Order: sequence, then C-alpha cells, then structure tokens
Amino acid sequence: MATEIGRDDGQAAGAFDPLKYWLILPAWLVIGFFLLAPICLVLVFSFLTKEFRGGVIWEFSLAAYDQFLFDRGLFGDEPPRIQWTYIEVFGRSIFQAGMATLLCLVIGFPTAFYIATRPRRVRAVWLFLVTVPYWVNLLIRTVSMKFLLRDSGPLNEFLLFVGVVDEPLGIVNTGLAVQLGLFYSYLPFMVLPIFATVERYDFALSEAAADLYADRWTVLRKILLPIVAPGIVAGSILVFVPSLGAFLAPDMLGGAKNFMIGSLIDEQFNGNAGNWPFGSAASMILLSLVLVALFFYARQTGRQGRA
Amino acid sequence: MMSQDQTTVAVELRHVVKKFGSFTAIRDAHLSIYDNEFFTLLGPSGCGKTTLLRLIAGFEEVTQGQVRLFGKDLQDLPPNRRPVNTVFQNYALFPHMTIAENVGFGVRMKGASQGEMQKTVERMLELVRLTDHAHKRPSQLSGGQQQRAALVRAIAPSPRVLLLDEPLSALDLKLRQAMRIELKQLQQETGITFIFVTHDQEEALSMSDRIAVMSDGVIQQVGPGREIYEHPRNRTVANFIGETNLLGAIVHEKSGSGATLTLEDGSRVMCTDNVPVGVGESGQVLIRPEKIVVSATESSSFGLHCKLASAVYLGTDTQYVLRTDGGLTLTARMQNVDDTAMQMSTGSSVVAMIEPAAIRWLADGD
Repeated sequence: MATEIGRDDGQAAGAFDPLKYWLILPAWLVIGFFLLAPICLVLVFSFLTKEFRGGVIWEFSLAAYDQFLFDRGLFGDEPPRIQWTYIEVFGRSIFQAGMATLLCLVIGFPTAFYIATRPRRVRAVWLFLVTVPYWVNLLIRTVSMKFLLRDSGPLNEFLLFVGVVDEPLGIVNTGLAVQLGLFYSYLPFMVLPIFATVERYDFALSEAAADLYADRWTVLRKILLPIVAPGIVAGSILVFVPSLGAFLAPDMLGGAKNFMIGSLIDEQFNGNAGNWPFGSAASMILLSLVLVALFFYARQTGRQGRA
Repeated sequence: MMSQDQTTVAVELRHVVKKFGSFTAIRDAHLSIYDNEFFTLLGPSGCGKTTLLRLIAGFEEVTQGQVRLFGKDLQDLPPNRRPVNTVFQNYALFPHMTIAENVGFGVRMKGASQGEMQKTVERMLELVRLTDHAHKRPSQLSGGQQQRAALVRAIAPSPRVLLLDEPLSALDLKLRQAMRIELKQLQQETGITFIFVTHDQEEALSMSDRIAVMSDGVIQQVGPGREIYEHPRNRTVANFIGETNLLGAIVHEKSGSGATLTLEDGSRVMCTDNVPVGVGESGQVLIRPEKIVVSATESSSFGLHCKLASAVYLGTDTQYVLRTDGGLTLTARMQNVDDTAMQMSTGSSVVAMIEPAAIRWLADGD
C-alpha cells in the first residue's frame, strides 16, 4: 500500500511536472550549442569532399583520413604507402606537450606547495600574482617570450655578459623554445589545482609519518604525493590537452621545423592549405586520442579507488 | 597494581622554555617522568600541555633548556629518530592506506621485514579487536575504531614512550569511559611509558599514576591524583580539579594538633591541616563539597548554621547550596543513600558539619 502510494506520488512528480524539464533547458542549450553542435559539424566535415581555397562540397568522401594515413604519390595513382609526415607531427606534438607538462609540474608543484603553506592573507597575494600574466593576451605573451629568448634578447645578453656562454644559445626556433612557450602559457593551470589539494592536506599526516620513523623523502613519496595526486593529475590534464592543440607557441617560437598539430589544423582553415575536411579529420583524430587517454586514466583511478 | 619503576627516568625536562615569537608557551618546565609510568598533563586549553608534548615528540624545538630521553639529550634529533610515538588528537590516520597498512607503517619504516611487519600488525589488530577491519580504509571506520587504530599504529613499533594528545576528546561519553579502562590496561600490559594530555580531570584521575597540572605555561603541581585532589598547592590547581569551596580565613588560635580558624562570616572552624602562619594572619582554606555533611538536626558542635538555598538532585548525588547565617555561601554534595535529600526543603534551617581534617590550608594562598 505504502509503496504504491509512494509510486503514484513519484509518477505525478516525474511525468506531470514539465517545469523540471524546462529548468534543465538552459544547460542543454549551452552544451548542445557550444559543445555537441560544433563537434558534430567537424565530424561531418571530415567525411566530405574538399573545395579548393576553403569550404566543402557536400559529397561523402574518406579522402581526408586517407590523406592523413597514406601517401599515394603526387598524382594519387601509386600504390599506397604509410604517410609518416602527419604521424610525425602528432608524435612531436605529444612529445612537446608532454615536456611542457613535465616542466609545469617540476616548477608548479613547489610553487603551489609554497603558496598553500603561507598564512592565509599572504596566500591570496601569491595566487593573484600567479594569475597576473593572464591579464595579458596570449599572443603578446608569446611574442614577448620570443623577445626574451632571441639571440640578441635579454637572456642571451645576460649569459654573454656573465660569461657563461661565448655565443648566443640560439633557443628560438627549437623544440626547447616551444616547450618554454607552452610552459609559460599554461603554468597557472598546473599551480591552481595542486594548490587546491595541498591547501586541504592535513599536515598532521606528515607529522604522524615522521613520528613513525619516515624521513622527509618518504613522507613526500608515501604520504603527501599520493594524497595530492588528484590535483597533480588535474593540473597535468589541464596543461597537456591545450598544449597538444596549441598553435601560437609552436608558430611563433618553434619555426617551420617544430610544426605541431594545432598549426597543421590552423593551416587547413586559415592558411594556404585551405583543406577543411582534412583539418576536420586531424581535429577528430586529436580529439579521439585525448578521449582514449582520459578514458584509460579514469578507468585506472577508478580501479585504485575501489581496491 | 602499580607497575611504576621509580628508579629509571624515561623523560626528563630540564628548565624547558618554549617561545613562539613574543609569546611564552612554556615557562621553565622542570619535570621527571618515570619508566612504565602513566603520566598525565592536565590543564585547560591553551595552557601549554600540547606544546610540551610536541617538544618531546620533536615537532617543536625548545627555546631554552633540555629534553632528555633515558638520559640522552634529544636536541637536534628529528621526530623520525626519536623512539617516541604519538597518538594524535584527530588520529591523523593515512586516508589512502588500509588500517593494516596504517598500523604497519611505523614497523616497516623501522626496518622490519615484510613477515615481521605482518605478524606485528595481526597481533596489534587483535589487541584492539580490529582484525575484521584490516582491509578497510580509515573513513569506513567509526570514531572509536579509528581511535583504536591510531592507538595501535603508535604502539606497533614498540616505542619507549607513547605520547597521547587528547585521544579521547572526539568520542562520546560511553565510549570515552570504556576507552579509559582499555588504555590503562594497555599501558600495564605493554609496560610503555604513557604521557597523556587532557583537559578532563576525571580522565586524568581515573588513569594516571601521576598528574602534572598546568596553566598559563607553568607546571603548577605534580603528584598522584589523590594528592593533587586532596592537597592542591594553590587556587589554580584547586579550582581546576573538582568543585571547591574557597574561603578566606584568619588564624584564631593554634594548638599542637591544628588551629581554630575564623571564616569570613565570623564563624569558627577547627582545622587539623598544617597551618604554616601565625595567629592573626590570614590565608585561604579549601573545603571539598563532598566533605560537608548537611543535616536537618543539630548534632555537632562544629556545625555551621545555614539556610538551604537550593538542592539539585543529580541522580547518585544531591548538590546543596547553603548560606550560613553570617552570609557565606557553601556548596555541598551528598550521596543519595536514603531520603535525607527529600526531607530538607529550600529555605529550611540546616547544619553543615565539616570534619577538621577536611579543611585544607592553601600553601600558596594567592
């Protein structure tokens, strides 16, 4: 009896209360308009035929994906061979983004730790300072990075003056410059999530571990790091993913040799290549790679949590 | 059964001073704690008792003086190299490890083999009946279970001295009372020196071999619970431990066995305690409420004539507030062995009888 009444109530609330659905509508509109629609559009474009100098012809084609994977010679009549060019671009992008993430982690973790252990008022000032560079446009920041690193820039001038080097280091137009650029662009994305977890960390746990004969290194490795790991992972994802698709830093700092996926895609829409389906296909491949990586990460942590 | 070894000093504080900036947390603490002793630091919050514990554990450094452990100066020895373990107030169990891993942590860090560690962990979990919870996370345990896990985690590496920082304060009353007995038993079984910090006098009295009462960073008095309760050295100690009647008194007459005192309201009482001052001089006396016998009949010449201002029934006891004819207020407490309580109504005339031996002259009558 009671359950039946309960179910009736539930039905009434569920089926005859349209207000509930109207309230979710804005959220669905945002997700649909800004997330699902663009992705679907890109997905559809990647299976269409290219129009020269931009645009698409509405005709199904696998040409974009074929171009990405296979080399059929200049006139397209040779037997297909694996096309390494784009795979190399992807590989380089993953490497550069990985290095940038590592740099951010190495610098960002101690920074976040330092800030989180300051008194509350001082903390706010430090956090503000970390975000200050973000008030300047990314393009300008990247250009100024180039200015800093170039052969006649302040860094090399200083090193020459001090006598550490005999000739300028020639950092610009190398992979290192790209990594530094990405590192500079995304460092706050590493600092903030780590700060958030370290701030919540109970330092009595470190004391307890030290009390139980653990030295400083062991406390860090066995207690602090495992507990703040979610912040480290979140920061790494937040740095790695945008780094992977970045095109400003590689363009401005890396030169032609350090071409990354972002630049490749940019070329297809804004540049001379003008191949929308190919740009879309490259985007979809990039997206799939990121999603697969995140999926495996989520499954891994899910398992650890249950164990 | 006192398993106290008076010959070996486990922890010795030598004129320890601890300052945080301009604030002095500990002023000249000078103290010996014996091996196998259950020693309690008792005091209100902010009195410096936890700071003292942290100095022994090594989380804080002394500003002046020395902390010695079995005759060895601990100066410059970090916490991980002191054979001392701590039970933290909020347990500080590692949230990402199982209970077994938590308990085994210190044993492993000390260099035991995997097998030895497992054996110790099993023994420890059995000791506090947590064997079934070995593979759970701390968050899956109740407060009492977490408390016991934290306790054996600290005992597992067999420390020479165990420091307990208000370990029972987060538990409810029933559990707290059960844990007192368990803690005391554990201390006697393991023979480890326990240094226990609490603000709860009942906790201190029920478990400790000796108690140090602290306030404002000063160790006020050190001694067995009975001594501190019966012979508090000063007002601070008297007020902190138990309920008290603190009264001003003037020495009226001195004899071989004691003195006659004039209380503030002019009434005279006999006192057999050692009164170190001469006739005519003033000081303070302490009378515990349970030493005052209230009766409706006038049967004793030592009795103070009073009016009953209030009687509060507290189950086992009744608490009486009395106003003497001279205007002094006294608190008395009597067990409800019969119906005496009900026979006396508020406003009625009663007599308060105080045994001469129950009146204590305060040595430091400040």
